Amino acid sequence: MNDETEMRLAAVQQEMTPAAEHEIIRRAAAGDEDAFRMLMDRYRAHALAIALRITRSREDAEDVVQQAFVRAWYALDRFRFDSAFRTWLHSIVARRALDRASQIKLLRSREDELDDVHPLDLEPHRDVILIRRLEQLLKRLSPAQRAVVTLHYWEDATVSEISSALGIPENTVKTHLSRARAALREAWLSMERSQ
Amino acid sequence: MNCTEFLSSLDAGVRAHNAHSQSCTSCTRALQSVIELDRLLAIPVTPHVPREFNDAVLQRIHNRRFLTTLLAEPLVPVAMTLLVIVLWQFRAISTLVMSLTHDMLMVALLGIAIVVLAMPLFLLQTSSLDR
Repeated sequence: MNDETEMRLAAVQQEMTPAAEHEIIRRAAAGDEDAFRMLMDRYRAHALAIALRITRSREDAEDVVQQAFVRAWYALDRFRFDSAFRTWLHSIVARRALDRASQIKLLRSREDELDDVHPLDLEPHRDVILIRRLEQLLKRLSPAQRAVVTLHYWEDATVSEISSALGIPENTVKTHLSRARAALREAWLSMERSQ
Repeated sequence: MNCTEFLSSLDAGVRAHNAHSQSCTSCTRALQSVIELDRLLAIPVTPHVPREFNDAVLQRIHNRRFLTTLLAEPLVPVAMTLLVIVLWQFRAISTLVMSLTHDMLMVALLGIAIVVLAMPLFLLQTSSLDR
């Protein structure tokens, strides 16, 4: 990583005001690739985390997120500033990840690829262990259930927002969320009993 | 309310004790579990992002832009259509050619084929020079 890249990363990882981000989006929409790199630096890790959780495959998740950024580049001039860029981008990522996960029959061996994810939390040791367990349980959910759970818990998205992001009816979102919670609860309790 | 109804309310997102759960060990444990699951599910994780990620995205954008530009050239679809017609109706065209002055038209057909086949390459090169 060269000095220029490190400086840019340090800059974008600091808190950015909405006005500053809007300016960067406008520059990127006008074709400024450096501005677009700043947006990628800021959002790519979380976008990848979303795609990974839904697809359960690093290769597919990286491809999905790259495609999502390409799509975002061409759609930036139509981006309306009435929603957050993060929400807009993550909707594209989640929908593409769900499409990919639904298209492909993932092999069992490709499902254990989340070992390099780390929680951004202040209790790293305990939470890393618990999140590893949770990731194992998430495998039991369908891709659609994982997509709904991911958007609900990570993006704080409402049922209506998830429905719009994934292109599925609101009642289906509610059903996925309820069944996912039930499956996770039963699996978690079963795991606790077995320990 | 019974256990089934209480668990259904948990799955619908309710996170509070009621008269039933306070006296039911199993439902109390279920409530504690879903609260812990809610906490864990909300913790963001950060995966390793490949160093070349941004370059790979921009490369895809450049490739797509180049292809779009190429396909927007009016001569490319014309050349492609001609090529398809030549390949599709090769026998008919060659019979026609044979019925006319054999040598001269074979040379002409060969020339047309070469031009048609070379057109995309020529456009590709000129487009690269323009950029």
